Amino acid sequence: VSAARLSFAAPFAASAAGAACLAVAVAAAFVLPPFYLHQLTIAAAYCVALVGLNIVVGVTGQVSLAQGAFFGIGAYAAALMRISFDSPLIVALACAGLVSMLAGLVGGLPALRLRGHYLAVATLSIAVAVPPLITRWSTLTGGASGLNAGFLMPPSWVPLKPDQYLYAWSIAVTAPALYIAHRVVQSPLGIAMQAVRDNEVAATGMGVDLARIKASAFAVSAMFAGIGGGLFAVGVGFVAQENFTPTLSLLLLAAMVIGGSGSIAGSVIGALFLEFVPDYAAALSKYLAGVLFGLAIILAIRFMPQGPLALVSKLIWPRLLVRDDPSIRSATALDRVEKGETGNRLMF
Amino acid sequence: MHIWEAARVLDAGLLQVIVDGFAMGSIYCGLALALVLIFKSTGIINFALGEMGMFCTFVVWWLHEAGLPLLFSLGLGLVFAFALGVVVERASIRAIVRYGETPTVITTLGLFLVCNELAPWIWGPENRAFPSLFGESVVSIFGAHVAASSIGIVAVMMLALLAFFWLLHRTKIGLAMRAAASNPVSSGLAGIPPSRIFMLGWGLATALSCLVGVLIAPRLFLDSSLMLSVIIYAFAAAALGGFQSLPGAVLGGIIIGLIENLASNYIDFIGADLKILVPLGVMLFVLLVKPTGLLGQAAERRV
Repeated sequence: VSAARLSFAAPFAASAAGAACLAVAVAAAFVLPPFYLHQLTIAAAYCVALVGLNIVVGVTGQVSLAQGAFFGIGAYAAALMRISFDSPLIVALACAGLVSMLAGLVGGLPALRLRGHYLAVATLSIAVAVPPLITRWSTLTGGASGLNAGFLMPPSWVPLKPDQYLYAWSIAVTAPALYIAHRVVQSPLGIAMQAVRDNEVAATGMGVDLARIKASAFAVSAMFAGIGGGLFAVGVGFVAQENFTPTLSLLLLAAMVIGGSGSIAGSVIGALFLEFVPDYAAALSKYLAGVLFGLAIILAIRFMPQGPLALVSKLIWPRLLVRDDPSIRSATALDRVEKGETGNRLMF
Repeated sequence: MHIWEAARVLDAGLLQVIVDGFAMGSIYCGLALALVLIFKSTGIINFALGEMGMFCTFVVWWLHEAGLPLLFSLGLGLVFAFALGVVVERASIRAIVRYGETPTVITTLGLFLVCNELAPWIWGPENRAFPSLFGESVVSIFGAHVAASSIGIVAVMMLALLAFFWLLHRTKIGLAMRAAASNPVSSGLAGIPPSRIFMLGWGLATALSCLVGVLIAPRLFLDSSLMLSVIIYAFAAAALGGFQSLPGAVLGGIIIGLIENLASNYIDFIGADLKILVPLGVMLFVLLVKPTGLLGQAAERRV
């Protein structure tokens, strides 16, 4: 089997797998009991946020501990839109994405000057700052008692129960988010992002505008976080600042690593892990979930740095993932920038 | 009240706030120093350091509850902390350092979660009173009432800082540690075993973090969130000082401690809920103006 044929087969296999997953997700709406549908809706909200986190951490290589804060900002924005203007869900989600994107642009400013652990500390301080600010700004946010975002009722012409309707919305948001992020990673912007992750200095030398790439990564990532947060607010029907503490940022990062850093499809696995594992672990001990998450991060980075999907496909079809080797992959992104695939003008 | 008298009362209050600020500042110094120590000897930032210290503080508390004298339990706790640091470095960090900075930072966040949840699982979630090493007495200095524990904390931390300065800059081991951090491969060729040096760095830093935990526990009460705010302030202090620099960490810690106490006491708007934002704001400002921190130097990078 020639490499050329394999490289043709790989995207086809990926599309087929994606379509199959979507079909299963849609079928789930008619099979699963309401409780599980509700959990899956929340998992979808996390999934959108994880897609965003993957873009900034996995693809662009900038540590962000602020994703939980952007998620919270989006949740409040969507809840306020629903309460104050009684706006349709799609408008509320768009607003959530927009507000978080602006927050992400501002919050990403330190990234233009800072790298690695300095950036981790700077974004951590955003995550720490947001919950007390939410409490303090009580005229808008309801302070410590939170906001009631209300329930989403299906219009009369839709033959779905409320939980099915909500779940349908979460699929309708998550599937395009996954697809768009997947395309962004393959776009010139995405290649430039990977080049920044793999070697900042070399990427700059080839004309990649670091500041612009990092700012876009933070903005796009925060936008996804905001949309996920909006979905969360509608799914839970209630927002309170204790849902958006720095721990959430930490857990999101954990889930992203468990799904596979840089693997957009892996976000689904990470989100399911984040939503379902604590539930099952709680049966044994309240603290088991946290310990499991911690151990899962450590083991995932050690034994499957590319994520479970890459590991599984490597086992099934070893030659398919030649680019699994990080050194080869890093050459790819930079080479593609050098070859001018990101545009011949120095547009980044 | 006569204006002079008012000024004197304010002065006494101010002195008290400043001494407390110094006490908290030296706590942040201690943990910031431990962070810088790991960074200087291994080139990694350990987000789990505070939680490892918290875990060891629980061990000290547990030994003390079992009937051992406090100082003796502290000694055993420090030994345990050293061993914990060594084992953690060997078991979880060693193999992944080669993946680069971001995966390493995320791994230490995983360690953070493990320690943070394991401690309440073993010892229970309720918070506990922790005995102070220096008793409960209050000393009067120039009309200000200062807790003996504040002075004790400053004294112990200053001793610890001096010991670490001496270790890093006046001993062969310290020289080896600095060499291994700046270039593990070359120092390995020069006969320094970098792996042992890294383990030593992690062990010493964890022991220092345990000491910080034991000093701060009487004030904050002991539970799994003991070190959460302390580690954030310590990060702010280390970043402020420039991560590379031991004097920078000390300076950063004192600045953060003073600003925190002064702002929450004298600016009404800030209060207890927002006081954590002040040092973070100061740190962000300094980092954005001078990304290498107050006393740090720009690291050379190879392409």
